[in-house]
Amino acid sequence: VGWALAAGVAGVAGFLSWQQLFAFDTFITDVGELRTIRLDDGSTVTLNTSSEIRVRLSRSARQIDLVAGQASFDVAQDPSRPFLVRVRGAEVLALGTMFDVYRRDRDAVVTLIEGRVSVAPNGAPLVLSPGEQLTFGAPDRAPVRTTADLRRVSAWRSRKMDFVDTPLAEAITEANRYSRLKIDLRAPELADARISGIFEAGHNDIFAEGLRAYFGLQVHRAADDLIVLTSH
Amino acid sequence: MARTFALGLAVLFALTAARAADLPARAFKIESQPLSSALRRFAEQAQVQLIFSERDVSGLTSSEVAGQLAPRAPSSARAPRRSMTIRAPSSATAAPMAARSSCAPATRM
Repeated sequence: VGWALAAGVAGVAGFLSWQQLFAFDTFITDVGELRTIRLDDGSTVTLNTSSEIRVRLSRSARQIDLVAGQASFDVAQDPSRPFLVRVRGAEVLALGTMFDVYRRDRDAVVTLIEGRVSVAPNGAPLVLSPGEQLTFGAPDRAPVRTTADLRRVSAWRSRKMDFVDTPLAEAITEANRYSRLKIDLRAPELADARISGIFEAGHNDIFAEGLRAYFGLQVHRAADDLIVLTSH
Repeated sequence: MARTFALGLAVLFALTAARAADLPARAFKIESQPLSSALRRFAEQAQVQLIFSERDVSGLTSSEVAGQLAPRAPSSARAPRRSMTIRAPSSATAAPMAARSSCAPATRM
């Protein structure tokens, strides 16, 4: 009986340890939602629209998986517990810092706002300086390191969309991230059109109205959740 | 330079008009800078939405503009020295653009 009891206790303890090792908290935002989460270690995470993270905090590490969407991290200093964000097979190691991670359809973008981060898209770590951006994760493209416009990168945290000479189709795709009311552009002659400007995210009716006025388009409310823009 | 100054003023004040009816009076200050970035600063400070083409504002500079944004200004305007029109398709959006054959009703600022 004693052996059985000991084995049972050990089994329960092992299960709890295993559970603790693999347990994580999941945070999800809906379309158009913006949410700031304060983690137990004092770090804060701001989730953009339609995003999901899984958070594991242990005594030796802080690990976050960006499963979908975009998140901005303001990391509390704790040298004994590395703060690691995993996205599209890469690891982003924060070195006391604030940074933005965006998991897009085909790739991922890490932008450093303050401090330093190390990103290892292919195993070899790259250390970014403030204002630098690394795009990686596309199967057919090597990582690209560029200088970012931090104001634009952080615009979403103020519920803004900031476009600078952005292809129109790309701007509409971005606007559609934030709203259940989608915009469908059916104007082939505008395939190469570009726009600049600042808009409030999540207000596609206003955005469509701006496009209508600027490009002389027709607006058709095709359904409760669909605006169609045409040239005639 | 004088031309640039006039244009910058006109564009910025005209954009102010776009949502003037909805906004309380507010102070704003925009440093001298390329017009593209000046328009962005203005959109932030006046809390208007803005659409334009980089091509239309390329090479143009705004001088420093500071003042008080007054409510109940005209709803659209044209810069006096260049074909630049600001349209206000809604109370919340303004669209400065190079003049086209048919312009929105214009008001000299």
